[in-house]
Amino acid sequence: MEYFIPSPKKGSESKAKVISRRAFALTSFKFVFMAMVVSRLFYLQIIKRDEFVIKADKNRFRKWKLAPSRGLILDKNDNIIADNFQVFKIALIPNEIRSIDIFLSSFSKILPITNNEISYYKKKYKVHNKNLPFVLDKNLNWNEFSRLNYVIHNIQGAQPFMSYERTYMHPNEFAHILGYVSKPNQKDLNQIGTNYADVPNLKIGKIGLEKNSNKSLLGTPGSAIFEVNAFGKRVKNVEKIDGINGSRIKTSIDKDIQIYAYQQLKEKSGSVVVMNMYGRVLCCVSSPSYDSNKFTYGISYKDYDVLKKNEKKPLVNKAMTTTYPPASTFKMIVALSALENKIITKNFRHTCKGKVDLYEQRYHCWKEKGHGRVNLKRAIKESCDIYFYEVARLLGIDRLQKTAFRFGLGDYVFQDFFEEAKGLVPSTSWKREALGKSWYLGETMISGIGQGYIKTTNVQLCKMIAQFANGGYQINASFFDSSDQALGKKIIDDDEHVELILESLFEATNHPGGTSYRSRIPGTMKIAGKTGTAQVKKISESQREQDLKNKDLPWKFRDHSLFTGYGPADNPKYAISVIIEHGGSGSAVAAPIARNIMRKIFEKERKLNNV
Amino acid sequence: MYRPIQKNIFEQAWEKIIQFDWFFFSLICILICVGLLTIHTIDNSDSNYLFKHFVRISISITLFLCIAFIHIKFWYRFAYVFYIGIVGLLIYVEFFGLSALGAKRWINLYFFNIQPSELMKVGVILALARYYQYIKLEEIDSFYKLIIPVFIIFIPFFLVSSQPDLGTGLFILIVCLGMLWLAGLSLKIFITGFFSLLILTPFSIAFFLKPYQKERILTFLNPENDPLGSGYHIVQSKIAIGSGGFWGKGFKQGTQSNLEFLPEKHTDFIFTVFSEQFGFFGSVLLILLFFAIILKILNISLNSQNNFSRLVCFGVGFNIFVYLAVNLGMVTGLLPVVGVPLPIISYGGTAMLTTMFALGLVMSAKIHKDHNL
Repeated sequence: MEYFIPSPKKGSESKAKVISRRAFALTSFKFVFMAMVVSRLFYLQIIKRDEFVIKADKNRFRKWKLAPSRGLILDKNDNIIADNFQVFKIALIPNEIRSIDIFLSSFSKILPITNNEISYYKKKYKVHNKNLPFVLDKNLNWNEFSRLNYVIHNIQGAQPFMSYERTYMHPNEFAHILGYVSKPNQKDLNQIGTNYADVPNLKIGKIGLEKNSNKSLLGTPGSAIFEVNAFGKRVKNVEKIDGINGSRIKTSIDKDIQIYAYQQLKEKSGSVVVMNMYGRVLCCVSSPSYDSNKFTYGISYKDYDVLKKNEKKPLVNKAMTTTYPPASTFKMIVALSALENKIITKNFRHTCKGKVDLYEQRYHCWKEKGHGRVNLKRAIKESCDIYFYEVARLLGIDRLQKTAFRFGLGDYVFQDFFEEAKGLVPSTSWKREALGKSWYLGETMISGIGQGYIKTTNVQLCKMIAQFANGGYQINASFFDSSDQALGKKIIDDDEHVELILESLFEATNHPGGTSYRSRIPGTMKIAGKTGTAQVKKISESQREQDLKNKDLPWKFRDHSLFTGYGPADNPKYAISVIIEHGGSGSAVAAPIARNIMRKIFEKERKLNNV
Repeated sequence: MYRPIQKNIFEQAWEKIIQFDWFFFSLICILICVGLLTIHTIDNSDSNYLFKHFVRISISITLFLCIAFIHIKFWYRFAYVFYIGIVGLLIYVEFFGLSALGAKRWINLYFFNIQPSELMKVGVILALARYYQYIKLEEIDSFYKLIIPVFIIFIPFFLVSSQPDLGTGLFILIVCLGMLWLAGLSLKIFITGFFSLLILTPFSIAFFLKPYQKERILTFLNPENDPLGSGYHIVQSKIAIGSGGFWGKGFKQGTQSNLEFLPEKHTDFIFTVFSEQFGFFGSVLLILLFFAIILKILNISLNSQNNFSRLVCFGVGFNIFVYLAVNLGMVTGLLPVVGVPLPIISYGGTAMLTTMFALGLVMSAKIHKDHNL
């Protein structure tokens, strides 16, 4: 501006005039600059106002998500088996602290924490996602919490809060079926949705029913909005939105039976599954077990290592995850398949000499001397292997597979159960596809006694026997107690066949000479069932000659012991399946356990009826 | 020959009171009240800024009145003495000053810390005005007549810059350039100076600037790059001003300032505090108020009979304008962050005293406008 004002000609103007002229020039420059400032203010305060209001609010408002209380899990008699308790905790907000060291050192002045804990937190903080609040794994009592709340504003970035922790009433007994909760990882968070991403102390189901029903158990997080100053100190509460607690889940499990069954399995490695005729699971126990409460806060490496290295695999749910050869319990499927396909009649007889040579291979019956001439009923009752080799040979593996599939073998029993295994029922086409080899007839024969490729889970066996016991109706097994218990469609052609098999099973338990005769329950409420002894390792001819006893073998080569049955025999209500890993023969180990559990169930029912 | 009639002291005093410019004084008082009000809104029991500010205001107004009634002739006579005295103080600071934040700027007077570099802003105005009072217009551009002003300007500039306080140093330089311009220095010299400065700038940035000063310039160019680091001040200030809107958030409702998001809110960023609460409307009113003062100073200087008074008034007016412009430019993000208070309003001792001292000189010029030196 001033450039346009000509500089005075020397001597032509008085000095005062020059000064005044230049002062005006300078003043106009001042006006221009101030106009710039005013237009800048106009830009900031009027044009961009809304944008800055949002930024200012972002500065001062903090949203704090409140973890909802996880839904309770009840047993069929409304006993709580998974509960929550209130805890008081401290979280630190990574954006608001200068460093974890400074935070912890100032924090330790208020609340004593050990050096071990400090190094533990530092290690965990290093890998923590810095956008989420970091929760200290420390439960405070009310006194500590209230004292902390009073002085907490001295520590920048600390946030005390109230939350809930999962606790299991019977952590060992229900460990596998309920599973446990733990901190979600990134994958879990992606699955449950962004709404849960920054909820402090959120725990989600990692396995078992906790995972299976996680969605309904989880609830919806609430949130609190409050105003903070630049140092993160809470100035006032602005808004609080209550979350929705997770809905409670009523299971069909009977707490007493579950605990009793767990006691029966003590020191053994195996599982028990009990269902009613509609597929509602009464008890599902796997042994040995672990303390699921330990997982809530993140189990220590030491404890986890002990569990992991245990030969008996306590972390595995043996009722659903481990697959076993069904052994002799599969004979009822073979018999039914043969009858339905009209391969045999109920009067079909075959002679058992203890062994048979076929296709350049020797096949043995468990009874060395042989059973002599047996019919179907006796073959089931006494579990004659030679008879079923013959029936299977006549039947063929493909027809057998169809019947097995109809009874739910080789398929999932429950819906969306993460850890459940599918098992396997072989067929000629399966072998060609999976192994690229053709089927041998010898493999059909050992499939006839539930050995070979065939693998089933304990829950499958329980569902199978339940479907036999209810007269051949399909059921949808479930852990949830619902009133609409109904049978599905019929999966057999002729009632007579099932009746014949059930009669055989009854005799196997209640008539002398039956495989599980020693495990019968006398009185009005009887049980019926089939034992099974699953070979883990092929017995060579030399071993057979040495007459090697099962108990002389190393533990992991011993036979699995199985029993599947139902009761009461005259009016079936419950199906049971017991598998003891490397337990020995089915009649010696699994059957007595099944009897004890069934007796307990009957006792309970009697008591209920009397009252 | 005309001899002035000797007046007695009461007549003299009465004359001065009549000449006292109440309008100018009330403008200053309004601004002081705005400052008090703004500081009140961010005051809390711990800081007690309001009381301290009030004490400083009382001292400053007393000083203002004293200066105003002292004859302008006195300041003319003692201009060089005053200037040399402050140069002495600057040298004293160099050796015995209090250091804070890596710079030696203060002299401890036991009850009060004084900052000679602030006083220097008035010192150079007085010295240059004194020098140019009797320089003839024809001689102004001659080389020999430029030697003394160059010394007057660059001695304090280098002393202050080496404290180090480049901001205040540049400030003094700018005020001096304004003075030279007003004194009638030819445009050619300015243009030559401007271009030589342009050539020297890259070198001086490379060799002369401290790293933190370079960083400030970079931050100014893009504050959002580093919102939690050095750009934090500008970002938060813009948020505060912008979120005020047209009418502001209301008295004491400024969230940015009350929740401590604003740095230096009672000194350099006091305009932000004001603007957040009173919005565009209040801010423009405040700027107009400042402009009224600047125009009033212009008016006083034009009515003065002697060149010394004129130059002093223009210098003071220009000084206040530079303060205002740099401060407003800074808080609105137009200029880089240089610690400059808002004159009259900001909390701060020496700056307040210096400003009121300078305004007192203007008032003195007004009161004695008809007198010769």
